[in-house]
Amino acid sequence: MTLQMLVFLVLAAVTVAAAVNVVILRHPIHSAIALIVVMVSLAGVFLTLEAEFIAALQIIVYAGAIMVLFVFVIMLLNAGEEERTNMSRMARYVGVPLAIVLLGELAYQVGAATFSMTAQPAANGAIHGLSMLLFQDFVFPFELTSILILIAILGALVLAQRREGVPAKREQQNVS
Amino acid sequence: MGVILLVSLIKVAVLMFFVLTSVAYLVWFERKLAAHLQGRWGPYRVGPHGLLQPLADGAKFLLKEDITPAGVDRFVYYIAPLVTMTLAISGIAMVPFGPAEIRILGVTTPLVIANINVGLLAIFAITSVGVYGVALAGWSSNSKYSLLGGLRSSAQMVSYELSLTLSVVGVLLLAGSFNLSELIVRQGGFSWRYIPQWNLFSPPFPQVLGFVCYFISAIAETNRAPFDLAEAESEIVAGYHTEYSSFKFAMFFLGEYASMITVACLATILFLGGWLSPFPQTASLYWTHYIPSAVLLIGAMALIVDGVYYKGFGRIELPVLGLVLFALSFLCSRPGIIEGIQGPFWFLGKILVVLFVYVWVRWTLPRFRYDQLMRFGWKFLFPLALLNVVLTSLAVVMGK
Repeated sequence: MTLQMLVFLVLAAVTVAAAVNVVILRHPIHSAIALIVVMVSLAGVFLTLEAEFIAALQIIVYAGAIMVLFVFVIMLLNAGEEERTNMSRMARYVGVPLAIVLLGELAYQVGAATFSMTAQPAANGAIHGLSMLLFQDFVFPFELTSILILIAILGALVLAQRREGVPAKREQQNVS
Repeated sequence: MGVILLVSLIKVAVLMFFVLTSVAYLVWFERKLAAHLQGRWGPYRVGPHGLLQPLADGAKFLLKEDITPAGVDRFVYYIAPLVTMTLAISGIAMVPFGPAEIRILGVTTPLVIANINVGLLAIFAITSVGVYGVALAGWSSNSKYSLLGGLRSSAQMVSYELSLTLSVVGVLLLAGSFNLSELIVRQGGFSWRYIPQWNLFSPPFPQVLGFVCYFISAIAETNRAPFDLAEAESEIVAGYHTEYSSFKFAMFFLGEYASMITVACLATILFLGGWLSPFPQTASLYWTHYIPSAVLLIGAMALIVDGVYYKGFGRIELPVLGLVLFALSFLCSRPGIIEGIQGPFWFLGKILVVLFVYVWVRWTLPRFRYDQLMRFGWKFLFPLALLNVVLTSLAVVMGK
């Protein structure tokens, strides 16, 4: 077994264990921490594939930005520990079998794919190739996505500013 | 394979020792400088000029009672200081200290632990995760002051991270690389023969705006005054580390100063030419190679003279230290060593200057109010950083 394989196995074990913890831990903050561990160890997996750029982005975007917001909101709402419920009848008779089927399918597909896969090391941390794709071949969808996100942010702002019977604009003037 | 691993471990150990020591003495430096800025003496009792104060502080932190308050979330409470300190220190692994290569155990290796292609991004990744130490410490302490400090700090760090990251885009546009060593090498050269082409005054578009944005958001990112709302003692006792005592508190303390060092290293690398000498490397200016030696010599003489007039502890110790510096100064002027010492010398010198300004700012400016902080970050700093990106891109495209 090579060193790389060993590193991968350790990272994979940590990722899976943390992912399971996200679900079974009862406190939202603990689940969030487990999810951060998932993100960071996934970045480690990217590193073993020599995709340094993707690894760094994975940490900056997911662990550094998105999960910070998660943790921030959980802290702000002061969410307490959750009660563990017995599974509903629906979950027991439909959910569990479906989950097992999905897991089996995934395991089969991944197992089948791994044997025929030859990994190609990404040159220069894959920055060049990625930016070529983003800013040359797919520049239109890329910009469209950013406009979509912008619209979503503006929409959230407008909704947050509105109160009963008062148009958003006038309310804003009152606040400032 | 095994030897390379061993060599890397040796480098890590040496750097760890170096960083922890300099963090301890950075505290001394800050206290001393603050005192002199305010017309006081600062630490003066423990050792000559308070030089042993960091050691005394360290011993005190270790020996104090370690209190865990009631009702804390134990696991999170324990890992928060660990996260803060580990992340703060590990950023320095990517920093190249000089162009020279050294030989350990027969392996030639550069003066950097991890010379990876996306070094800059890796450092940003590490700092962006650093917010968890503060946020989780605030949340887990089960105290209103801690929670308020943690919330303030996470909001602040998320806001200022944007301008921090945007402010260096200009530099990246000029250099076209994420590799820190390459970023420095691209800044070589001189305009009008004597002005170095560091990114701060590089020809297509000087990154003055970028540097200002970077420095301000870096101060906010490291939670230091005038942005230290996370630990504003007049409002929320000590903020996120109110409930921490003994060595856990020391870890936060170490983390804060270690991240100061990382930020100063990055400022030096990105805007001030890293290890490059500010003098052109011509034959007529070869004497500038003796500056490190001269600085050590002046330090040695100052120590010896000061020690002779000293009473009590330090009368012998200071001159001995002076003699050591004298020997080092002699060593640094020998051929073979003189070339290798240039890079680290200028690099450390620039870092010291940046740290000096850092401390100076802290002891000069009053603290922001929270709404001022947010307005400043989003409505001033962020557009300014964006403007810098636009102008630099224009300059780069026009220059082609």
